[in-house]
Amino acid sequence: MLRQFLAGELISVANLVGAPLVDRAGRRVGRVNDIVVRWEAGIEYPPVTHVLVRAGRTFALIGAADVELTQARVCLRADRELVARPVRRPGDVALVRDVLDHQLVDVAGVQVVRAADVYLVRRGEVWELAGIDVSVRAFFRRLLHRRRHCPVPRRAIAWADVQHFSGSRHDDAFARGPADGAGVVGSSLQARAPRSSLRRLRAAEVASLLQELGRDQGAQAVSLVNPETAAEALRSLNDAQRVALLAQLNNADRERLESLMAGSS
Amino acid sequence: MNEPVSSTRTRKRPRWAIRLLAVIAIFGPGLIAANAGNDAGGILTYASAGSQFAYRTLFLMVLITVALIVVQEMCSRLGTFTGEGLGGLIREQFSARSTFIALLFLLVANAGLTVSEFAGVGAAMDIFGVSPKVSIPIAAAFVWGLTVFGSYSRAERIFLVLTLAFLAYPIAAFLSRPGGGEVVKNLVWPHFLATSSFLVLTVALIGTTITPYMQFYVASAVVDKGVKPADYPKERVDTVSGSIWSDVISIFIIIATAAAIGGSGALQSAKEAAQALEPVVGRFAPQLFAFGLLGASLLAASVVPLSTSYAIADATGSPRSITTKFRDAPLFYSIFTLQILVGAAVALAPGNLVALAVNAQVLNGIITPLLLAYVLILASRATVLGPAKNGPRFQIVATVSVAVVGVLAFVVLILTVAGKG
Repeated sequence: MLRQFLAGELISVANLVGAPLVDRAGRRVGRVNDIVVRWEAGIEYPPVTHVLVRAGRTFALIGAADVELTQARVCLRADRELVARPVRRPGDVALVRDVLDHQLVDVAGVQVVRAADVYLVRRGEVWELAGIDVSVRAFFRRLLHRRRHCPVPRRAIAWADVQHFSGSRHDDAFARGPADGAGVVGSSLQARAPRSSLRRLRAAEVASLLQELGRDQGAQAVSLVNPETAAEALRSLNDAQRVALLAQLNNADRERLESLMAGSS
Repeated sequence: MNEPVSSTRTRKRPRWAIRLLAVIAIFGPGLIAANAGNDAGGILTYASAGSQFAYRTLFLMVLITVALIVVQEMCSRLGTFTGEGLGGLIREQFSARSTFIALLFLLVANAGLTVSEFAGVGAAMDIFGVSPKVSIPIAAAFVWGLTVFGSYSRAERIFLVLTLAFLAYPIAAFLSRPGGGEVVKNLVWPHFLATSSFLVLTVALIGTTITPYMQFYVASAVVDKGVKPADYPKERVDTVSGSIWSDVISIFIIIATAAAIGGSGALQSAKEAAQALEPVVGRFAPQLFAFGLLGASLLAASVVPLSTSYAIADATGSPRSITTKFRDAPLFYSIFTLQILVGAAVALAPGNLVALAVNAQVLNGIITPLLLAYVLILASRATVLGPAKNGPRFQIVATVSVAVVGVLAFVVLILTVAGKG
């Protein structure tokens, strides 16, 4: 898949953010603020479902079918009103808010990484989330001016090998400001994700990841692996780390893991 | 690492004993972080304040203590409630350019600090008659080798024991009979001077007391220690008491030096600073001072560059650990090595080592408010801390603290550029 995604038509999300949104006449009506994909059961490379744009102080969600994505700009296919008050739905992953610059797990390499760039690949009429670039060069590239062409990924990891975590527990809406108070249909929390590549890992590997992950991410990782693996991984942590992670879980999960740890010790 | 008190113990302790144990168990990150300010640069800067302006900077130290408590509390809260270090939080919450600027500031501030640590080594060994040209390169190679080849933790304990020499300062402050009335007057009421040299030393005192390294350290340390949000009230006790304890020691250094050589002008050598310890150990004062300074310098000469490497590698998502090989963590080790090399090379430049150490703190003082702005923004964001974000009153105190430090740093920067600093 990695070879395929590098060979396809790519868009760098880090370069797309801030790009103009233009109407059919080529007039600028806003700027790209985020790209939303839908993560559902059985889908390894989630499709882009919406583009979050900012027009003045207003945030709006536009369906992916209503726009044409290019690296330099996003064009509206039809003249339409921008619908304000964007809300998240279950399974929505906002690539800038939830993935770019956040802690992720490279499951194949068994290491905690940060995405310096996120890549979309075209599959016919649909853009899909292909993978991430974790190179330091990709981070430094973002300090320079925005590029009109997609830069080449340096240390690419296919999305099928990435485990991402929900955004901040305190950030349920896509946008603050005028969109504040919007009804939140669902949160981005993926703690009960349809598929977790972390399940491939052994307890010792999970334990090494837990030592590097932040508290929220670590707790989510614990809830994403098999309970037996999680219990074994937690047992190999020091007391303070184990207690801090368990404290993040709900009562039922915590009690189950504690009984598993007690049972096999 | 402290072991949590087991809930399954059968022998009952009195309630007061359980509470006391709980408080003692949580002591650590805040206390250690705040005391990190009493490194080589700190000792020489506080001694310089006592030598140059006698007791006049004491009220300033009280104000700096308030600012230190506010800043350290915010960093400790960020680490506790997010479970992430400041480097990672800045990367997640700010743009790539803002992150780069923050990391650059940290790199420069810590490089300045590393210079002052090697200057401290040179000044300490000078007391034993060893030229800085010999002692500084050996110290650089020693610290680099110990850290990279993984035997640092044992040496760290020896360095820590050496720094206990500075506990002689509070005793010296009492034995030197400084005149209680004079000290109290200067502690409770400002006796500032409207001179550029007083202003520059003010910024140096801020730079060495509220150093960016401590902010990054305390956030990471509470994460490493696994402090839970539910334990935060106890962690706050540690942070506040650690900050107060650290500055009480600093104030004693100023008082002891002021009583011994106050008003004699800027400190010229570590030997002069050592005179403050004569009431305690007599003619052995220079040797005691040199041991303490050497321990503090070697301790921080490794820890400060390491903390920079950890913060930058964390923010860029690069491998970071002293247990990995150089080729597996090239960025982490390159930053560490570069700081040791630059720190030692600058400290080797001809000139007054004490002045160099103090000037490095001025640089820190100028950079500190810029990094404090990031901390202030992070701690006031509900998206980062939720209900634990800064309350309205705390936000006012924190903003005023950062703004005052920023204005002072800006004025010193202007004076320095104009050649009047």
